[in-house]
Amino acid sequence: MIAIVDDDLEIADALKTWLEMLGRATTVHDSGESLLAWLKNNENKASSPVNISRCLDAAIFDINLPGINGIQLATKLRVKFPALPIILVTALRHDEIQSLGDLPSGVSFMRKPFDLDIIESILFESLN
Amino acid sequence: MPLVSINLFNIPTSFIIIGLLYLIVPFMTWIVLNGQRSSLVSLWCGGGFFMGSAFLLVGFRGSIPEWASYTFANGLLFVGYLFRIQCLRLYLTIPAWRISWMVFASLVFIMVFQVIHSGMNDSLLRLKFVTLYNAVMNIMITVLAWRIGRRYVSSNAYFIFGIYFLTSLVILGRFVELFKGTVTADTMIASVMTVQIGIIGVMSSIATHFGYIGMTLDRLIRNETKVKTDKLAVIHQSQQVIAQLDRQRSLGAMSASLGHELNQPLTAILANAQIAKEGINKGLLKPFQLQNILEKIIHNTRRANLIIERIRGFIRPAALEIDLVQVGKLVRDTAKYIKGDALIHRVAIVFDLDERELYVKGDAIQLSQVLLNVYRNAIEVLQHEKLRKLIISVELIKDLIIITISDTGPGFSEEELRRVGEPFYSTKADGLGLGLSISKSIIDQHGGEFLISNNENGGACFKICLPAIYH
Repeated sequence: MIAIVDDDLEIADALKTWLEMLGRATTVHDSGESLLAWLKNNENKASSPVNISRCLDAAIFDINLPGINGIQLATKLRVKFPALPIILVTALRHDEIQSLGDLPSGVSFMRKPFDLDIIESILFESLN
Repeated sequence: MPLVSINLFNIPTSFIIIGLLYLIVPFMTWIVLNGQRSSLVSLWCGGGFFMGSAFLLVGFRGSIPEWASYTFANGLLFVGYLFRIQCLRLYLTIPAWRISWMVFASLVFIMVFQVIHSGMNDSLLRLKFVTLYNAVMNIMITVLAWRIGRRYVSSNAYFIFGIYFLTSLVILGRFVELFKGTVTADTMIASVMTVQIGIIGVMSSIATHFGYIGMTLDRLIRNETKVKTDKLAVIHQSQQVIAQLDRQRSLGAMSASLGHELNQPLTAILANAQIAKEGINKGLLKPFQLQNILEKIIHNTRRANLIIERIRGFIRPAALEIDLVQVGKLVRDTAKYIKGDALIHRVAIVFDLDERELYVKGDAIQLSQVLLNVYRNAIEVLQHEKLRKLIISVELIKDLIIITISDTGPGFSEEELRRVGEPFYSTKADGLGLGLSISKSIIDQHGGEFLISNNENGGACFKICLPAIYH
């Protein structure tokens, strides 16, 4: 399962269509809070911690989100999923991103407008 | 009949009286209008002076050489009329007659008169000719005075019109009688018509000059008002230019936000195009799915265009465009300009909007400029704070829509509160001190109020109060 978080539904929808064409299941959310709630829900259903980490294979999200921003979301996810491939997409420049705070390890960046082929290669490289 | 009354209505006597009046009254008019003298005043008074001289010469018929009391006198009267008509034409800003044309017309007139008077020696024909040209000239002045009255809504011009209208009627009456043959050149002296001519002559010599003084003062007041409105227009225009420069400056400082906003639809377009390409290559898409994706590309292209149009609209130089503006939408749309900056500086924007559709009357671009100035100020101040929150609320209180923008910054000191919003006063090291003063004048122009204060918990609080239109 790949999580997509973007408050712009047009972009979230395109990512979902793309990943589904590649044969991947997706869960789409419009805010970090929504994804965290979804995870909590799954956590309650799951019988063991191993299964929890299995419910998410990768996450793609925007930095500019309503509520907690993408970097805060990445930091929170990293605690639960130390090896989770995370791709942050943003229209911000690198120096602007740095001003947002410390980034957790293993996070990839994509500038908008992004190339889906590159997202695909990053994603599947880390998944394999 | 007593001698005095015979003398008064005797044509030569009345011409002398009218002649004297036409010399004195224009001169007095000219003195009264000292300070307002222009070529128009000189033409009017000069015309009167020529007419007065003409009437005097006519009055002295018999005592002075014939050429002076007939040909020269009528020539002077003709020139007097031309002066007055020229004066009224200039007043109406109709192209003036050329002086060479006027001189030519006067010479032709004198020659024609001389031919009728001496060449043909027909006193009735001469009288008909004199009455006819007097009627024509008076009617021309009547029409011009009427046009001035209508154009400038001037009761003084209507007054002049009235007098000349009466004069024209009397002269036309005399002309008709001459043609019917009911009077001859000799019997005219004793006719009722002569009394009328005498009375109307005295009346017009005095009354038309009063009217003219009034008209000149009208013109003066009009010119002064025009100078004032022109000045206001210049001030207004420069305010618009400053406001536009401020908008350009704001947009320049918000490139991060604009980049973010424009990149959203571009991202959607690129992604959907790639999906379509891949889907066709691998044969994964059914026609309806492909159509769906193409629809999204079209939709997002339009979305990008709307954003560009909005930005262009924001920076274009434009006169005030008053329209109905939905406040909630304005407040949210303007916040989009600063979304990226708020993100970079980790400022949370919280909306607390009245759910009803509230409208104000105004210029959407200028109002969003005010909001933008306040938003940007807050974000700049909040960068140095621990708690970074910008709260934007819209509420309807009685007939006022109140937009409140408060932040969790340090607020203003007493000195700053007193001076903030003054032109060129800035609390920032690199500030021009124009943003808030422009905002204030924009809200003033919208008949509203722009209030700056501190929150209960210390942050700055900006209130924009505008008259509500529909609620």
